[in-house]
Amino acid sequence: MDCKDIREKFSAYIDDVLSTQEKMVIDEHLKSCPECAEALADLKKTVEHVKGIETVEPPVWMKQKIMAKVRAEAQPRKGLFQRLFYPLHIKLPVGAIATIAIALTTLYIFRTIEPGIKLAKAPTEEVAPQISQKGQQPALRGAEDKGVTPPVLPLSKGRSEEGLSLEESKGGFSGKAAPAPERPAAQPSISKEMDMKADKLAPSTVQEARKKEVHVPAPAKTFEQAPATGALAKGEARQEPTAAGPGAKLSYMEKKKEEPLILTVFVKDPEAAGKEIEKTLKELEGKVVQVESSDGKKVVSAVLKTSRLHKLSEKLKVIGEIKEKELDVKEQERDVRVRIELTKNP
Amino acid sequence: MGIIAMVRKGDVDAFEKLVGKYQKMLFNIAYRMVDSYEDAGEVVQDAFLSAYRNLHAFKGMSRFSTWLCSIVINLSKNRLQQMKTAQQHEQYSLDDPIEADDGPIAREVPSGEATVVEELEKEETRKKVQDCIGRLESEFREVIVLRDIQGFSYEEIGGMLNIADGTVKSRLFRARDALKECLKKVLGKL
Repeated sequence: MDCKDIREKFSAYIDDVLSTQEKMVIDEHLKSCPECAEALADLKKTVEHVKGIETVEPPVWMKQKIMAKVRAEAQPRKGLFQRLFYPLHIKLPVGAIATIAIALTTLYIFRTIEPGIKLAKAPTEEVAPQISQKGQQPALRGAEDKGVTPPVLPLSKGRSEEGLSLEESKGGFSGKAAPAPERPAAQPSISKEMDMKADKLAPSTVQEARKKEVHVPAPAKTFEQAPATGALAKGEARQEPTAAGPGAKLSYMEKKKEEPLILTVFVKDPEAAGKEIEKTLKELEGKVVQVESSDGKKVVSAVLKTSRLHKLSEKLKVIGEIKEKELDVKEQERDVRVRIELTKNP
Repeated sequence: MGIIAMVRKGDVDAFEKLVGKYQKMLFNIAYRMVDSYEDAGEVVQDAFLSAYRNLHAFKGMSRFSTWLCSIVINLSKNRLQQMKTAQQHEQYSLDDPIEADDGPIAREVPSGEATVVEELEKEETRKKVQDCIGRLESEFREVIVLRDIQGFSYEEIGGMLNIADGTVKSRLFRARDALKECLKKVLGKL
């Protein structure tokens, strides 16, 4: 074994991992070879230098940093679906609460704006006839000018004789009406919608009715249509704001009931009669809403209890000649609007 | 129940105990391997994280510390490779070997300070030893670190590096011999 082979085993010799025989061979060689002995000594010193280097302390933050990373790693990663959506046990209650909140908010908003909607509706119901009447009047006049006689719509005589009824004031045609050639007649206090229909169907009849209303004596059965309706519409439009308070709560059908009872009374002196009626209304605990005077005609609008209507009728009979024979009010006690038109006796 | 089993069941605190127990040893291995305090810290962090992730791969055939060391050695070698690549893109160092026809020649001239080195403090000597270790190829460096600094047996080193005992012996001889030559140069006298 030459020096090169011996020196290759020096590392193992130092670590004492050689067999006893190999170790003996090296020991023998070292006795006779000072160069190899020096080489072994240098190698031993080298190893001692390496073993002698100090150990270094790791950074104090290293453990915390490692554990932070490990803990982050240990947390179960949520899938895309889980990250986008909450689990069902959270999502369901949240969804239910949200639904209830939306429903309550909707209800609140609806209740808040409900009166506004009804107020907005009311004028359209009442203004529409005015507009259509305005549009139709020239046509009627034109028909008269041309001497054309439009088909006549007979009025319900019997119906008028029955007097004004609140039931009737709801509008619509009644089977009780006297048979007519074309169709049942409209009631005196028929709704404005029906007035419009009547206007369309029998303009001449309406014209006649208007004339009769002013000139024909009480017994004559007149059809108070366009003028009265027109005035009524205006009156209603004016009164609407006052009715907006409690009236705003009324339904649409109830509003239709609010159309006033129209009583036409022929008197000698409308002015004096008007004052007397105002006094009477006060006595009957009624409330005079409006008093109008025009062309020798006086119109007193008031609000009165239904139970006092009969007394009012009696009083009107004393003051003048009432067109309607009897007020047949069978409804339960409530306030009703009354429009008393005082016309000078012809 | 062992700590490893507890960690496998999700006990992170148990893993913290392992970190506390082995962090110094792993850091020293990494530090001697990469010759950088900062890089050694990063290598050890990555090593523990890798160990946590791959704990299922540890079958218990070797000691846990041996398994951890093999991870650190591998990561350190990877880091060395990265550093080497980065250095190639930077300006050459004055210490870089000069390429010649008959092989690379060390640029550093053996200084005549050998007599002065004897007077240097131990700290300076250690630094030079570390410098010499750092000049070894990684395959020699790792056996020096594992055997002479950490004291692992040939068998353990063979297990860590997945090489035969004979290979460990021969590598260790070459590593020590190269280190001896280096130390002779930097220290003048051993």
